[in-house]
Amino acid sequence: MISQARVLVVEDSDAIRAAVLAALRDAGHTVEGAGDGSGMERHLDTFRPDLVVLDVMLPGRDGFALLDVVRRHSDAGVVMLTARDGVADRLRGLTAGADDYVVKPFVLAELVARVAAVLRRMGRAPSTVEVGDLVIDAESGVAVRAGAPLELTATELRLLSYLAAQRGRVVSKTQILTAVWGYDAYDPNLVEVHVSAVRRKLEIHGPRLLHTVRGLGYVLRAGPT
Amino acid sequence: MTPALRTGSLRRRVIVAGVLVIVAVLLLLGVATDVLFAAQSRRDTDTMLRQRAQLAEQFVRQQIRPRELLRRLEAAGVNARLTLPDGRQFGDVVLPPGFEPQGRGVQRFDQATVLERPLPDGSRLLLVVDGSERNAAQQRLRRLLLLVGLIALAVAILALVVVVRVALSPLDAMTAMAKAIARGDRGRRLSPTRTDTELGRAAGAFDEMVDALEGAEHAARTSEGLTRQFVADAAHELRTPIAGVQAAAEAVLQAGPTGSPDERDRMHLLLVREARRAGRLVEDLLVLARIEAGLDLHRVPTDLVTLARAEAERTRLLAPGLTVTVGAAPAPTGERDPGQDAATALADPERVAQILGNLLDNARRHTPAGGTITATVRPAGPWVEVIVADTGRGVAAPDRERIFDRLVRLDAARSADSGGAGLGLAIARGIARAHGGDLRCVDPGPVGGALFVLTLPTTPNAPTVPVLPRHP
Repeated sequence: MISQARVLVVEDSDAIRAAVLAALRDAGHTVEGAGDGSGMERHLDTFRPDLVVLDVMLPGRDGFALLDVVRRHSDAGVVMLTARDGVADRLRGLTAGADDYVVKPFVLAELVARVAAVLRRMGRAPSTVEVGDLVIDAESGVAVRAGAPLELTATELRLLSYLAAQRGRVVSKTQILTAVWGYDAYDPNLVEVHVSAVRRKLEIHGPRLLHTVRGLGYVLRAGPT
Repeated sequence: MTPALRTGSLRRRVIVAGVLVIVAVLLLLGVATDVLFAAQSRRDTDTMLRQRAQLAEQFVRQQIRPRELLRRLEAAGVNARLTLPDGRQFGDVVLPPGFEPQGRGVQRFDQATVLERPLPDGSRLLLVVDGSERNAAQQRLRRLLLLVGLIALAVAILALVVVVRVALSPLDAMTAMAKAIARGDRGRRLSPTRTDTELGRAAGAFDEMVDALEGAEHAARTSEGLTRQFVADAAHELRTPIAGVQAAAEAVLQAGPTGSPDERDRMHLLLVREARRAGRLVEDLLVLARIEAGLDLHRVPTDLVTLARAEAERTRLLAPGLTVTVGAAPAPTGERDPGQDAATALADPERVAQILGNLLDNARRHTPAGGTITATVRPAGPWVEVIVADTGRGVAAPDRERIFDRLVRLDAARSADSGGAGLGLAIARGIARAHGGDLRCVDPGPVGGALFVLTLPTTPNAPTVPVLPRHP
C-alpha cells in the first residue's frame, strides 16, 4: 500500500465541497473540509494537510488572503478553485504561489488528477503503483509484470491505472466508464471488452490479479479472492 | 422620406451668376456710352454749323468779299459754298447722295451734315461737315469700350473666384471636421465666432448635432457596457451553482457500489439544492428582463396590511428565531382623506407580494437570530408607504443606492448567509417603479438596522416622483 496524501478542501458551497471530498477520498487520500478561513486555520494546525484545495470566493477573507496564511503556516501545496476565469485572476493566483488553478465548473476527475500531479511534483506521492508483482508508472505510461513489460493500448493503460489507484476496492462498470471514458459515452460493453483484454495480457505472466465481483463490478487485488 | 438635398456646386453657381451680372452691366454701359457719344457729337456739329452760319451773316454785313468769307468759314472737314444772287458760285463742296436743296435748315446723312442758310444780302450759304471723322472716332470709342470691358470682365472673374473660395472656406473646414468625426476623432467642434451669420448658424447647428450624436453614442456605449457587465455577472453567478450541480452529480456517479447510502442521499440533496438555486437565479434574471421590457400590471385596490401579514407569516416559518410584526400607522401629518382606506394602494397584488417577499427575505438574511423585523403601512398624501425595518447591522450610507444594482453584494467575497444572487432588491425596486412608486433604502437614524421605504400610488394619476418620506 503506497502512502496517500492528506488533503484539506476549503470551499463554502456545500455541494462542491462534499463532491470534492468524496472524489479525493475515493482516490485514496485522507480528506477534511472547511467552509471558510477560520475553519481552514483550525485544520492547518490539527490536520496538517499536505495539500489545500482553496476556493477564491469565500465569505470573510478571500482565497488570495488565505493563500498567504497557508504559505506562512505550512509547506502544503495549494490548488486554487474559482469561478473567476479572468487571466488577471489566474496570474494573481499563480504568482501568489498557488501550485495550480482549476476553474469552475470543473470535471472532478480533472481536479483529482491535478491534485495528484501537484503531490507528485512535491514528492509526496510516487508516480508508480504496485499491486503484487505488477508495477504501473502512470507518468511514463509503463506497466511491468514480473519484470516483463505489458503491451497495452492507451485506453487499456488508463483502465489499468484507474483500477490500480482504486486497488483493493470494488468499482462498478459505471465508475470505470466515467473515470476512463468520461461522460460522453455510455456503453458498459466497452468496459467488459477492455477488462477481458487487460486480464488476458496480465495473465500471460502470472496468476489472476483483475477479479470480477458478481453483481458489483471489478477489483484489482493480489492474492486470493 | 426627406427628398435628396440639391447640391449643385455653390462655387460655380455664385461665379456664373456674378459673371452674368458683370457682362450685363458692361454691355449696358457700352451701349449707353456709344449712344450718348453719338448724340453729343451730333449736337456739337449742329452748334458748330450754326455758329459759322451766324459768322457768315456778320461777314456779309461787314461787306467782306465772298472769297475771303469762304476762307474764314472753312476749316478742316468743313467746306462752304456761297451762291450770289446773280448766280455766281464760290467754293467747292461734295454733296452727299440724296441731298435735296430746301433753301434753309440742316440735313443729316451718314457721310456728312449739310446746312443751308440764306444770307441778308440775298446770297445762299451751303455748309458741309464731313462725317467720316466723327464716325472714325465712334469706331475707336467702340473698340476701346470692348477692350476695357473684356479686361474688366477677366479681372472680375478672377476676383470672384478668389473671393468665393475664401468665403466658402468655412464649408471646407466643416467638411474636414465631419470627415474626422466620422473616422472616430470624437470631441471636435467648429465653435463658430458668431452665430448670427449664415455660416455661423450652420456651424452652430452642426455642433449641436454632433453634441447630440456623441451624447447618444456615449449613452449607447454606457448601456452596452452595463449589459455586458450584467451578462458577465450573471454568467459568473450561474457558474457557482452549476459547478455544484456538476460536481455533486459526478460524485454520485463515481461513488462505488460499496459507497454508503447516507453519503449518496446527502449528495442527491445537495444536487437538488444547487439545481434549485440555479433555477431560481435564472427565474430572477428573467423577471428582471421582463421588468426592463415593461411589466403588464393588473392594478386593483390592494390592502397592503393583508399582503404584508401573509409575507410575514412565511418569514416566521423560515426564521423561527426572529420576531416579525406588521402594523398600520396614521398619516405622519395627521391630515387624511376620510374616504380613503389608509392601507390600500392601487397596485398589482401579486407583484406587490413579490416586493414585500423580497424585502422580508433580505431583512431575514441580514438579521441575526433574536432580532426583530417590522413592517409598517401608512398613508402619505397620494401614496401609501410600507416601511420595513430590521435590527441587523444595517446598510452603510454610501451603499444605500448601490444595493439596488443588479448582482451586487456588499462583500467582495460573498457573504455566507446570503442565499440570493443579489437580484431581489433590484427586482423589488423595478416592480415598485413600474407602478409609478419607488423603493429606497434610507437613513434609519439612531435606531440602527436597515430601513427600506416602499412607496405605492393610491390613485391612477398620482405624481410619478414621490416626495421624500419622513421617518418615525
